[in-house]
Amino acid sequence: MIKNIYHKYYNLKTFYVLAVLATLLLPCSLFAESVSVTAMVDKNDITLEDYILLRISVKGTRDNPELPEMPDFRVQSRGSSSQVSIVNGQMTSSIEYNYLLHPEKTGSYTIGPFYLKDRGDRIKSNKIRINIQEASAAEEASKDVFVVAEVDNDRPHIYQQIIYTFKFCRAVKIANASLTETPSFDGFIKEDLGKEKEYQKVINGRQFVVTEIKYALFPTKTGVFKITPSTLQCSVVVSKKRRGRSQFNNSFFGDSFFGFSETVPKVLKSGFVTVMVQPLPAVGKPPGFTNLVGNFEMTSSLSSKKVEKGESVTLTLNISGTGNLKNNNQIETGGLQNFKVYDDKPVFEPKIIKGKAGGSLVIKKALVPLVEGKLKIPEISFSFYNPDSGRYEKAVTGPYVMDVIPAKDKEKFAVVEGMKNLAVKQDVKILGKDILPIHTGLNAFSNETHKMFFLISLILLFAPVVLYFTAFLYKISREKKEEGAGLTRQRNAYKLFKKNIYAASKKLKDSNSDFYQFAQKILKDFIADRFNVPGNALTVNEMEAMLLAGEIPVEIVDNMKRIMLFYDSGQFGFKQYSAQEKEEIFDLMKKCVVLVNKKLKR
Amino acid sequence: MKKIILTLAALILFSMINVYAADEQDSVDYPRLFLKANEAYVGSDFKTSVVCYEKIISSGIINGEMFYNLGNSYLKTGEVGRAILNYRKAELLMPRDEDLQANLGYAYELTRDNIECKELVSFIENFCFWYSKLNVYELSYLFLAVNFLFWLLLAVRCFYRNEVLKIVFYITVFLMLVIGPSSGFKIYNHYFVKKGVVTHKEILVRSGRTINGTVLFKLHEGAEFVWLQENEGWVKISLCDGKKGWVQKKVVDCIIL
Repeated sequence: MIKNIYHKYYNLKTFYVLAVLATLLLPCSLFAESVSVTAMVDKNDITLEDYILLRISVKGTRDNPELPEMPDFRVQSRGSSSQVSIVNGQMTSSIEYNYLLHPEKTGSYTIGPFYLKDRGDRIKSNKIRINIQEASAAEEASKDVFVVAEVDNDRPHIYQQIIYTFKFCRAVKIANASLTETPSFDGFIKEDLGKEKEYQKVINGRQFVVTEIKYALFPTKTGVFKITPSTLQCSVVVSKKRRGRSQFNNSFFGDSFFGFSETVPKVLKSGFVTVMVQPLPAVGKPPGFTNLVGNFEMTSSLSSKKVEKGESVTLTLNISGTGNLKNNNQIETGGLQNFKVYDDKPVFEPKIIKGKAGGSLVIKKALVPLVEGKLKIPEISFSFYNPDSGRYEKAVTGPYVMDVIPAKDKEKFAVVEGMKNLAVKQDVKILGKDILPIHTGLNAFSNETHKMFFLISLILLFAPVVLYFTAFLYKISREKKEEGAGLTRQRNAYKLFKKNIYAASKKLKDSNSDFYQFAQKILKDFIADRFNVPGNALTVNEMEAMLLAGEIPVEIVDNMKRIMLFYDSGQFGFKQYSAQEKEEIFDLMKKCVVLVNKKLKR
Repeated sequence: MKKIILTLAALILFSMINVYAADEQDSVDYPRLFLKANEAYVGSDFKTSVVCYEKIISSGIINGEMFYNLGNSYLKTGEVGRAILNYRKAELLMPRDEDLQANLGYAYELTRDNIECKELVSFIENFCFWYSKLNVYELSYLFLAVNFLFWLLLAVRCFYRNEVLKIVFYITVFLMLVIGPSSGFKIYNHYFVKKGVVTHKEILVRSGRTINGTVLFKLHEGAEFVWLQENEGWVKISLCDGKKGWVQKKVVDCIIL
C-alpha cells in the first residue's frame, strides 16, 4: 500500500519535472528546429456542395502563414491548434491553422503555395490541386440535405405573375441554417408571398422536412432572364464514429445533446432559374390597354342617386383579383361632362388569393353635378389580359342614373366625405440650391466709409452735455440774480415806505384827495417788497398769511388787518371817517410798519 | 531770395506732378469697370468679375453691395472662404439685406467645420433684435440721438417741468439704458475684436509660431475665428468653442473694412 503511494508520488514528481523542462526548453527548441510550412487538404475531388478542410501546418515558428487570394473559394477560418512532441529526445512543435474552403465554381484549381516569413526569408509551402464538379443526379437523389429553386411558369407573358419558390429539404438534423445570398431578380418586380412555410414531404421514399419561401414575380421586360442562385449555409448534425459497439450507439444517445454527435458545415446552392418572358399577344389588344395582366373583377357603388345641384356624391370603384394591380391603379372614367370630378387617392390593400399576389383597389371619385335633371353616369370599364384564359377581357360596372334637383338657397355647396382627402397638401420640395443674384445698381458706388465717425460721435456725445451744463449754470446765475434783486427790494422797502409817508401825510390833510387808496398802496408795497412778492394784487388774507409766516406777533397782524380793512372801507365802503380817525389809523400804520420792519430784520 | 523763389517753384511743380499722377490714377472708369464686372458675372465669367470687383474695392470704395457682389463671384468660382469673407464685410455695412443673408447662409452650408458657438453676441442678438439689424454706425447714431434727447430734456427740465415732459424723460432714460450697452458692445466688437476667415481648402492649426509646432486641429475653408494676435507671419486664432492655436497668415484673411 505504502509502496503504491510512493510509486504514484514518484511518477507525479517525474511528470512535473518533465513538464517544467519541456516548458523551459520549448522556446529554445522552437528556435533550434528548422522552420517549415505544409499545406494539406482532406480531399481533392469535391462537388459544388462540398467543402474542403485546409490545414496549414507551421513548424519552427509562431508566425501566421500568408493566405493567398482564392477568388474561386469562400474561405472561412476554423481556428488553430498547437502540438508539441518529443521523439527520440528530439522535441518538435507545430501550429496548425484550419480553414474551410467552399467552392464557388466548377473546374480544376490550384491552391497555394502559402508563404511564411522567417527572419527575412520567405518560406514556401507545397501547392494543392483541387477538382470541383457539379453534384451528380445520383448524388442529388441520395442527398440528405438539398435546396431547390423553381418557378411555376418559365414562359410567362410580360407583367404576368409567376411564383418563384425556394425549397430547403432535409432528411437529417441541421443547425444554424441561414440564407446567405438571395437572387437579385433583375427584370422583375418582386412581392413577398407571406412567411416561410414548413411541412413534411416524402421524396423517393424518404421523408424530408421542407422549408419553403415564395415570391411573386412580375416581369417588366421581354426576353430571357436568368434568376441567380440562392445560397443557404447550415450545419448538418452527424453522429461521431466510435470504436466497437457501445450501449450508447443508439438514436437517443446519438443526439447532439449528449455530445455524441458533431456538426458539419454545408453550403447549399440552388441552380439558375431561366425564365423566358414573352410579349403580350397583339391580337385582340383593346385600345387604351394599360398593361394590366391578371384576373380581376370590378364592382361599384354610388353614395346617393338623388342629389341637389352643387352637392356631391361619391362614386366608389372596387377592383379585386390577382395580378399587377398594385403598380397599375389608374382607371379612366369617361362621359362625365356634366359633373365636376374630384379624384381621391386610390387605396390598395394587398392580399394573397389562392397562393398568388393580388388585392383590392378602392378608387373614390367625388362627383358634383353641374346641371339639373336626370344625369347618367355611363358604364365604367377597364381591359386586362387574363393569362388563364389567354385573351383580353373587360371588367364592367354601372351605368347609374342620378336625379339632380335644384339647389336650395340656404346652402350652395356641401362638403362631402369624398372631398376630405382632395386637398392633400405636400411639402414644397427643394429641387436645387443657388445663391441670389448680384446687385447691379450704381448705388454700390456710394462710399459707406465713416471717416469722421469718431469725431462726429464725440461731438454728438458731449455737445448735449455741454448744452445741459450751460443751461444749468444759466439757471443758477439767474436764480442768484433774482435772489439779489429780491434782497435789494427787501432792504429798500422801509426806505421807500418812509419816502411815501410824507406824501401820504399831505393827502391826509386834504379831505378831497385819494388818501385811502394811496395809504393802502404804500402799505401793500411795503409788505410786498419786504416779502419780495408782487404787491398790486395783495389781499388782506394773503398779507395776514405772510406776516404770520414771518413770525410777526398776532396783535401787530390784527392791527395791520384792521388798517387794511379801514382803507378798504374808506375807498369802497362809502363810510366817511373823521380826520381824527384817519390820523389815528395813519399813525398806527406807521408804528406797525416800524415794528414789522424790525421783526423781519431780525 | 532767389533760392526761396526757386524752392517754392519746385514745390509747386512737384505738387502739380503729384496731382497729375493722382488724376491719372483716378482716370480708371470705375462705373464702366463695375458694368463690366456685372456683365462678366451674368455671362458666367466669374473670374473676370472677381478681378473687376476687387479692383474697384482696392480703389477705396467701401460699399456693402460691392462686397456682396464680390462674395457672389467668389462663391461661383468655388472659393467659399473668400465668399464668406466678403459677405461678412458686406454684413458689417448692410446687415438687413435679405439677399446677403440668404447667400451667406448658403455659403455656410458649404463649409465643412461644425464649430459650436456659445458667444455673448448670439445671446445679445436673441434679446436685442436691433443688435443684428443695425450696423455699428446706425446703432451708434441711434444711441447718440437718444443721448442728445436725454440731455436736452434734462436741460429743459431746469426751466420747465410738466407731466408729459416727465414721461418723455423717463422713456428716454429707458431707451438710453437699453440701447447704450448694446451700442457699446457693438462698437467694441467692431473696432476691438478682429475676426478672420480661413481662405484655403484645409489648414493646420499649430501649437506655436513654427512649422514644426504640434498640429492641434485642422480647419477648412470658410471657418471663422477670432484674430487674437499677429506675429512674424503667424496669427494666433481662437474658435468660439474655445480652441486656440497658431496659423500662417497667408492662409487666412481678416474681416475688416
